[in-house]
Amino acid sequence: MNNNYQDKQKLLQEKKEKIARLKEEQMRQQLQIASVRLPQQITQVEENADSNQSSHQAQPTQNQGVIAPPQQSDLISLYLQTKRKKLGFQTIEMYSNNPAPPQTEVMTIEFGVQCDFEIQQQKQENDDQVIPIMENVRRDSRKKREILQSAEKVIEKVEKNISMEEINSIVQSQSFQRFFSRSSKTIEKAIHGGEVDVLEDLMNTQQVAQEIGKDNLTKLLSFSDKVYTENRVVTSIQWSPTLPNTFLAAYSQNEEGSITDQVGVVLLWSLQLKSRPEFYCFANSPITSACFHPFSPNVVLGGLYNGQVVVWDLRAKHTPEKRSTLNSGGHSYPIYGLSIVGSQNANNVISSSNDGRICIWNLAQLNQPQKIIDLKTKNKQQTTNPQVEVNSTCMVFPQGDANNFYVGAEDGCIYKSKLHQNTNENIVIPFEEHLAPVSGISLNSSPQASPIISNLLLSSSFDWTCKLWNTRTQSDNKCLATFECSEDYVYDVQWNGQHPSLFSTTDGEGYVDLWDLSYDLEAPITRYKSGNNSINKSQWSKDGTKIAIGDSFGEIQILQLSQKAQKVDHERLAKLEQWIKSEK
Amino acid sequence: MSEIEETINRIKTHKSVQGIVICNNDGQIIRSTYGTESKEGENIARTIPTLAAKAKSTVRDLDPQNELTFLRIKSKNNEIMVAPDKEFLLIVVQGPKEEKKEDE
Repeated sequence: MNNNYQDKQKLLQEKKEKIARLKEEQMRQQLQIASVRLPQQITQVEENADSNQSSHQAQPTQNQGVIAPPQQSDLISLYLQTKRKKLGFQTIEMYSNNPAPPQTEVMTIEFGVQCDFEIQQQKQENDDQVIPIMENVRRDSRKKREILQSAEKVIEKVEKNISMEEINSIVQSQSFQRFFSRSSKTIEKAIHGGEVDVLEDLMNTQQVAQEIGKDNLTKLLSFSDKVYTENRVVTSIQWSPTLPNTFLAAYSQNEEGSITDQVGVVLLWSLQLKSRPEFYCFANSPITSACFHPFSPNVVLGGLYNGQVVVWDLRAKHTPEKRSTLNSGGHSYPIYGLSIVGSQNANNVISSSNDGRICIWNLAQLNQPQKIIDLKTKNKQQTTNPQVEVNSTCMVFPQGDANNFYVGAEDGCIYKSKLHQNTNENIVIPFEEHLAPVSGISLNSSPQASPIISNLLLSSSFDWTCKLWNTRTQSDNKCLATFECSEDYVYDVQWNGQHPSLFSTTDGEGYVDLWDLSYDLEAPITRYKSGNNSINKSQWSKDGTKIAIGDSFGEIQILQLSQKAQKVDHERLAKLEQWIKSEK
Repeated sequence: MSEIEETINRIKTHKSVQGIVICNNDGQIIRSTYGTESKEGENIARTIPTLAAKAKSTVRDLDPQNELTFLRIKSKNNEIMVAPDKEFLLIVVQGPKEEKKEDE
């Protein structure tokens, strides 16, 4: 003990000397107009620290002089000095040079020294003194005074053993019990090598998941043109395969218009040009389907109500460049399905009309179709004809497939067929479940979809439902799931082109329902009301973030999909695939 | 109280667990299975709280809504698991992985 006392005395003495020295310096410096002397002082601090002296001098809030503790009167005068100096420009510089750390908790402990987390408690041989290094202490002079005052008192060992009674009282306390129950569970889970999932956190995240439903679809833009779109039903929408912000929309006839109005209109809209369409294309019959040519960026094809296939060249005029003739094969019924299959060099236009006829055209020669296929199916009513035609309302080809295709018909069936069959007969494979005409079909074309998911087919029908089919399983032809949330005709269903389990349905009440199969097979994650008009057609953009919906009065709305809904949850997706596999 | 002792025992008797220390944020040992002869317990109680505090503040700095739930230090010889709390820490030192999986 004596040793320690002497040491203490020695240190005090040294301190006093230092104080005197520094006071002199201070006086000198006060006369100068000094700039920031911070670096010097920090080195001073370091020196002090190194030499194991008391480092109370460490804190320069002023650029002049170092605050040295312990005597009360000194402190007060210093405090006053700092108060005065605070108004000076120099102080501001000081602050900016060494900003205080965020959210520091300066704890007042009886037997410790107020410091931030950089405590280096060096246990020396003479273990009675703990010399803290005060870096980063807040530049609040009041706090500083507290620190310095408590530093005086210091210097009991932090390591002092608390008594058994204190320990016991702590152990009995509520907070300790709670802490222990929680942390021991965590530790035990960790010991057994498993995932350390704190139950409370799990419960919180589940709540978050349920809130996804709101605001998934927000209206971005609306397109309509007084002259050309008023009172016309949107019959077809397609996004451009080459330009990301452009899409085309085909319109039917304006029933209430004048005779001089254009009968068939296809408009090309750009998201950037909001006031009017970018291109106009006209035809002399209402247009029932239209699409871009994937391999020629300026070519647009249209299928007309009278059965003609027309080609527009956007660089040229507004009326069709080419058109198919109305005789010699070809269609004489409205063309509801139009697509281009094949590759860049070898492609064909496939059109399907309402009477079940499929024609394969070569663009160079639109006088005559290359091949005509008449889809027929068994006649259920067993009248004179054993076979009856398929009244198709929509047609879809799988991506990359130029042979197989699916057609939705007015009798409620979906037929699968091939363009090129081995036999002479035309074999169609029906998927029968809808009770009313099929209005739309869609095949999953997401690039992220696994093989299981990319075989899924969706169909919407006038029987108020949508059905999900697995096209791989030929056996039963039963649908995998039925989605019934609409209370009106469902006019269209579309898979999202990027998200493997997201799709949308549009119905006659104006609702756009967003479904995510990985979350819920029975309810949509969002029901968005876009107005009071029924929505006839919809199409997701290529990147899957926007959907264009066209209603029966000529207005097209662009809805933006929220980031939350765009996220793919792979675990849930895997579960979905499992379920699909097991549903064979 | 006895539940605490029970739980400590249960954890302690797990095959690869070398020791348990419960201490507060200042490093004062509340319970320790190391005993007073070896300095290990004291060393742990002295050094780990500062590390845990640093980790806690780092997590907070990166995202103010976030908080540290568990800290695990895997080293060559052993693994130190720390379950932090506002005032206390539960520290368990476990031996290397090979020793585990014996009671499964």
